[in-house]
Amino acid sequence: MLPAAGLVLEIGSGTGQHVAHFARALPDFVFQPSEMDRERHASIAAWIAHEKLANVRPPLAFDVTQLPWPVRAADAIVCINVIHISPWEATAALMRGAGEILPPGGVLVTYGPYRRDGRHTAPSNEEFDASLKARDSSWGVRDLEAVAAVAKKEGLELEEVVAMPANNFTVVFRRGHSREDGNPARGGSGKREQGMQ
Amino acid sequence: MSGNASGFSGPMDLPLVLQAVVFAAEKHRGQVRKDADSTPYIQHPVGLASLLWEVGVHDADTLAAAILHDTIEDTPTTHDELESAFSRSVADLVAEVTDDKRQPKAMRKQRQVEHAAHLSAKACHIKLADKICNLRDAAGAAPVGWSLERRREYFEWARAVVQNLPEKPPKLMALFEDAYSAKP
Repeated sequence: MLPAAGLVLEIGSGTGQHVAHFARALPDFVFQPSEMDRERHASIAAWIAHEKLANVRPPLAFDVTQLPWPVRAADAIVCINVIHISPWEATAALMRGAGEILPPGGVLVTYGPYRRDGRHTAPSNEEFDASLKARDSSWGVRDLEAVAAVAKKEGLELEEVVAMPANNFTVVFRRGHSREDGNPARGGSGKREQGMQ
Repeated sequence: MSGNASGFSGPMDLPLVLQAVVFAAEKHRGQVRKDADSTPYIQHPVGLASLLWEVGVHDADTLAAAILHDTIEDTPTTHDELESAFSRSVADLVAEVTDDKRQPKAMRKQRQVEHAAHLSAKACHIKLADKICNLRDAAGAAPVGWSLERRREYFEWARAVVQNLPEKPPKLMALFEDAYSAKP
């Protein structure tokens, strides 16, 4: 039943609150936070200490665009609010790195706003996109289709798109198996798959 | 999401649980517990999942529903929203452990005791974990302003709910008795 010592890598841990909650909810998994901004490492460490978590490693400060990553294997990767707050090259590198270190069947779970079918999904996202670009012209809300295309090139299949609160989406990518379920026309895994046909 | 493939994702649907954490954190954002430290609310539902995991409940639907268990009751989340973001079974589980807030508080408490007898096995796990965590909090980090009498009544009510559950897994019951023994 219990997956043996699964390692979950978080890219862009920010303050560390999500990794703290994940680690508390799933005590048998080991979590590896990472955050390029070293000034945030104190906050991540504070969350780990506050929750008295023994299953979170100290944060790493690696840049996803520097391949290969210092973490050479992870059973799953989670990446929250990163893709729109980084240059496009970071997303390309995220997919490449994930494709390199995930095992067949391993998942990359991303969360954040996306454009769908060439459009923003809400007026608030459009404003948010403009504010991001004003802060850094290389940032911005990405087209989900473009992100999925980059992922596919790296062997990561879009598995699921789930609407979340505040006009965000959870998007799950799964690294393909060498063979086995080689049906390129994904049927989707059921009702939770929304759109992306 | 059909957990399959690698031994890792195996029967345990990891993305579902991670997604429940992110969803609940977003919904409970800004809410705090009633304790003196004003603990962020999300720590309570996450604590339920932690407790369930520790006693060997690794069913992803149960863990996700535990993490989401107060979203309908305490945030504007609807059953439909949970169904489309998660699944019918997760949404139904959350609904099972949700009080009808339109009722006056005293009636709601009585209803919860009665309703407990009709809970599914998975909902019993969640309800027990909820009561264990709440009793631990009421014994230690009690809600601000609660009199001794109110705390004692709370312990009694929690026990009445638990006694009515059709499913009483021994490990969870042992933890409940431990928590109950700290009754002030």
